[in-house]
Amino acid sequence: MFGFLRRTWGVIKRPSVHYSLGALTMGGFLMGIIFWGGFNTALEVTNTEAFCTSCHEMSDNVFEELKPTIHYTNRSGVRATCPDCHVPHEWTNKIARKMQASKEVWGKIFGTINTREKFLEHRLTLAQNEWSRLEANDSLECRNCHSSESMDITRQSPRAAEAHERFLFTGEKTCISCHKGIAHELPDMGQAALINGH
Amino acid sequence: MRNYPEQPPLIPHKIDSYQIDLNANQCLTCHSRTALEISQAPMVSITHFMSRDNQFLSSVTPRRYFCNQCHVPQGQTKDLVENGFVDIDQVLEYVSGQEGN
Repeated sequence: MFGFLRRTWGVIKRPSVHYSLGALTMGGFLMGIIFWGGFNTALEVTNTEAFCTSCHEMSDNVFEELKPTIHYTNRSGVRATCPDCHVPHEWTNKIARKMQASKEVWGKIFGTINTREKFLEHRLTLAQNEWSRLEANDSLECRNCHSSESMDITRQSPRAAEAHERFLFTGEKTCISCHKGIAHELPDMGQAALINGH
Repeated sequence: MRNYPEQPPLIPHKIDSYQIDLNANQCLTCHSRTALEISQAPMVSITHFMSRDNQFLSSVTPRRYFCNQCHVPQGQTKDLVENGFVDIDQVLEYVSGQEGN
C-alpha cells in the first residue's frame, strides 16, 4: 500500500514526457468543466420537488400534507418546493446540509421511516430537527421570500399586524416560533412541550 | 352582542387550516390559560375546564376540546337557508304589544 502511494507520488512529481504543456492545461481545464458541471448538475437534481417526492416516505406523508396548504396551491400560483424551505440557498450552507443528508440516505436504505407507523413514531423528532434548525438561522429559508422590510402591516389583519409588530420587528421571536405546522401537520405538541420543559 | 344567552361567542378572525386533533389544538396556542400572558388573547371560558364529573381541571376538559364544534368564525355571508330567528327581546316586545291590544 505504502509502496503504491510512493510510486504514484513519483509519477505525479515527474514532468510530463509525452504530452505538451498546452494539452495538459487544456485537458485539465476541460475535465474541470465536466467534473464541476457534473457535480453541480447532480446537486441541483437532488434539490428538486420531483427528487424529494420520488421516495414513498416523502410523497405519502409530508408531501400529501403540503398539498392543501397555501405554500403549494394558492390564488397566484407561486409554489414553494421542498428545498425552498428545507435546504439553505447559499452555497456553503447548502453543501453542509447536503452532507448532513447522508444520514437521510442511511435512513432510506435501512427503512427508518418506511411505514406510516414508523413515520408517526419519528415525526416529533423530525419536526424538532427542522424547528431548531430554523430557530438557529433566524428562519432564513422563510425570509428568502418573506422579508420583514417588505411587509406592509396595514394590509394584514389587525391580529397579525399586532403580533408582527410585537414579536417580529423587535426581533424577540423568529418566523418559526409562531408559524409551526403551516406546511405539514403538527406532531404531538403535548409531548413536544414536555421535552422542551414547559 | 350575543343573539341569545347561551350563544357561543363567534371567532373574530380566520381559522383556515387550524389543526385541532389528537396531536395539537392551534386555538389553544393563544387562548389557553398559560398562553395568555404572551398572546393577550381572551382565555377559554373557565366553564370549559369542568369535567363531566364536575371537577375543575387545570386546562380545557376533553369534552370541550374541539373548539369549532360550537364556535364558528364570524363572516358577512348570505344565509344558506331562510332563517326566521328572532331574539328573546323581540319576542317579549311582541308579547307585550299583543297584551296591550
